[in-house]
Amino acid sequence: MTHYFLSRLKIEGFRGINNEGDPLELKFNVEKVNSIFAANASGKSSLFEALCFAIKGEIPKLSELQASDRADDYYVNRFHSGGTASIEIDFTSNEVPPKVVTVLVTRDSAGTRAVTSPTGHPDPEALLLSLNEAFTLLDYASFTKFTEDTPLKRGRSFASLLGLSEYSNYRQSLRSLSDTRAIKNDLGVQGLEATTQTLSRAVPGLLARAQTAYQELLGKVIDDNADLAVAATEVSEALGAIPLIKPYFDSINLKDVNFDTVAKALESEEDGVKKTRMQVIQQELEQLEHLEPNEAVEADLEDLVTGIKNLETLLTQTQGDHYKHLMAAALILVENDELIDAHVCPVCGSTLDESIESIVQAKLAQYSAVDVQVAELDAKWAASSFSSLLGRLEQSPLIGLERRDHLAARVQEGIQSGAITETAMSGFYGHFQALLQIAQDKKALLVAEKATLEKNLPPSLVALNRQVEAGRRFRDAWTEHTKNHTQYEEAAGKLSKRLGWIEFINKAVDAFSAAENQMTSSKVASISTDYKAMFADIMHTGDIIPELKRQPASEELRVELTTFHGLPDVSARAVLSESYRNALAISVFLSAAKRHNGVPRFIVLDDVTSSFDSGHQYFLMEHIRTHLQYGVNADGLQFIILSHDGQLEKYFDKLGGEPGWRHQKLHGTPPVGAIVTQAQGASRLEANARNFLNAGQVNQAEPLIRQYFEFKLTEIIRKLNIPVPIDFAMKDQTRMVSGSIKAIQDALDLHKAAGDLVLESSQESSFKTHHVTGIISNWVNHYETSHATSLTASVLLRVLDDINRVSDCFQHDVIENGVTSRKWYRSLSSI
Amino acid sequence: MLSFVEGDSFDDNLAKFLEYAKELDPVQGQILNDLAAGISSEDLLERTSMRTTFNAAVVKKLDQVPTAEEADGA
Repeated sequence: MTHYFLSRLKIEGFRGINNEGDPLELKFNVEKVNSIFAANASGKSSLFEALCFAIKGEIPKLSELQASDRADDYYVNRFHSGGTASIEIDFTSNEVPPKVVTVLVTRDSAGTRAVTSPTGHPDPEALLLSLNEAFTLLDYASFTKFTEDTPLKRGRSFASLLGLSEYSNYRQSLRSLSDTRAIKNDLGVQGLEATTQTLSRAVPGLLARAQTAYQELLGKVIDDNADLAVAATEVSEALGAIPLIKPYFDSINLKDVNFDTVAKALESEEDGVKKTRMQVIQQELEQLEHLEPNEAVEADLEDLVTGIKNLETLLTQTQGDHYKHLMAAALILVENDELIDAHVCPVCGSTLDESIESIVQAKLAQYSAVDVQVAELDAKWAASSFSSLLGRLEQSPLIGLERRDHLAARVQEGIQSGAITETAMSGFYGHFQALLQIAQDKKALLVAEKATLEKNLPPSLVALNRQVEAGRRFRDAWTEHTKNHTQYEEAAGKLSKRLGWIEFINKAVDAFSAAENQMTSSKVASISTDYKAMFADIMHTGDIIPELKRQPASEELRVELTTFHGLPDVSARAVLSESYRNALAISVFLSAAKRHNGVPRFIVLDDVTSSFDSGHQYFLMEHIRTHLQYGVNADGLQFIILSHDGQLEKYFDKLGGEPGWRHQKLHGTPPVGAIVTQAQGASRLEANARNFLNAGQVNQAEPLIRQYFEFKLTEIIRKLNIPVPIDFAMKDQTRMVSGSIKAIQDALDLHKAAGDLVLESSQESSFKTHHVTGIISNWVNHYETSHATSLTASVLLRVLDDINRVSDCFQHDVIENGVTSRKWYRSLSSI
Repeated sequence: MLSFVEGDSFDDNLAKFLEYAKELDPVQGQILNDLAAGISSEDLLERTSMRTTFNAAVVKKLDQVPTAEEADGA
């Protein structure tokens, strides 16, 4: 795999970096630690944000703003006349010979981001995406988040660090596919269970009907296990043996017999009107038989009532739809990590004993339980014999119920909306019983009428009618029984497949999770030695040994201390101070980054030592320099370290002259003026200032003159190791020049008093009498007191000339091989 | 038992998982293989949508598969 380092960065018009027509350009050495110092408000944050925008496609600080803050207005520098931000980056590969790929990222005021490659890379956007690893761009917040996160969130974000984010995401997807409650709902398991249950309950009733009709016709009993198809043949043969109706049954399957035709045949025999009426009564009595309840109806009703009671209980635990929406919105905040504090209520600000996530999950689970119960009830209602019988009763012309009095649909609506109550169900049951009573009364009337008619019809015809009726009833019961069996087999088959799938997917998910766990644990263990050693080195301690622990069968990653000053197994978060927690996070991140075999082999660290004192800052930098950097370790990484810390800057400055370290310093007046590096600074600042002055543009030139003078003075301080006050870097920027002059003058006075001043007397007096009290002093005084009247361009040009001569006071001629050159004194002391 | 090889790519390890699923159950494993391209997630809302779509496809596939009795009868 090809790896890439960061070798050059050029920025114009982005955030605080104006630099119109003169981009800020920084070069980085692949085999050195690259440090960049910038005092506060010198453009360091804009530099880091430029890399974030280029590689990640966003600036986290702006992405988190609310819509009313109009984040889009703050990408392009507001003082750049071109209205376009441009970020050009060179990435150097680890190939032999190395290849340099240039990527140019621009963003205009309309928000359009464009990614191109001046060197012709075929897919620069894909290259940037491949460089977007969890460790590429790290700031203080990255490490704070690691220690403050919940174990689950830490585990998931750590997966990214180990290059396992794809596994973590896939695992979460599989978990959602195997969630039992959801999957049962999705696969319709409740409906199938209700259907099979209802069909199963209907069987005894159907069997009883067939048995009764069979016994009536043939005078014999068939048991529950009898084959009804065989019994049907016997029924058919018995009816076929009656000469009057033989043709309708001979060689015809009982299922296919047209009993209406048989009835017409009987009707054609004597006393037609009464026989016709008898037929009608027979049919109506059959219809009323279908309106009689059986055990399945009672059992289904009981089931429904139990389900409704459960629903009512579950509903009392919830607080209505608005609260549900509130919880759902809170869960989105949790999932997107937008909560300010996981234990502080965002509504009232009170501190909670449990995390908001666990509270919200528990509340939503209650609403889910309600939804599941409603779905179950709906499925039960649809499949129940009770609902089926109620529907038949309401629609039967024999009952004669007005359409507006039908209640079955209202029951269904009540169930589906979750509004059904036990009381309401009790009311519906009363209505059902009233209809049953009507059916029974009707039946009683018909039976009585039939008995009267039978008295008036020939006994043989009455008996024959009864036999045919029994045959019809047997046939109908048998047909229904067969259909019931077919439907039951179908539903049971589907249910079995779905339950089988649920079992299968859970096993598959468990297997994936176990394999992912094993791999992650192995990776965590593989960096254990590294991060423990790094932590001990940075914090200079052997009394505290941290341990990352991956929980079995879980994505949680806990941070514990195996040893804390002799005490075993202590919670890191409970006892470690902020600096220790950050040191641990840094150690873990850098160890994981070093081991990661991804495309980027560079890390940009932005002000990561904020919680460290100067001693621990030094230990961290030393560890990077001696163990981690690519120049000394073939498996190492290229480091680019940004800092505003004045103490750290002294360390950088000292190492800047050593092999293996490249130090740069930013100066500037963002967001209006330009930002330049020390390397760019001097000659460009002077050249630009002279250009402005020659054009008579005094206001534009003055800030540059100030920057140039600051550069020259700090160069003197640095070259000659002149001590400065502790708060030098924190002093008001407008007084930096006078502060620097004072520091130099004080050092001169000290060495002169000690009798070891290395400067020639002419140099010393030149600095003191000419530069300090002369024209420069006049200008400095004017500038630092923001005096309204400006000096003229010609005067300022002389100030520039004078500034150039100041350095000369601290240099001397050196003759080497007959060649004379001007060099800096090593210090102010001649000893 | 399923295990992932650290040096292998995610796609390679995913293929191993899908093969393992077929060993668990040839029919259901094949269904998972057929629908694997639809398994993805970025966040909670997407996962919910993905789940319902995926399970709807599972139902269709399951209903096309004969039961053991149907298979024996055939």
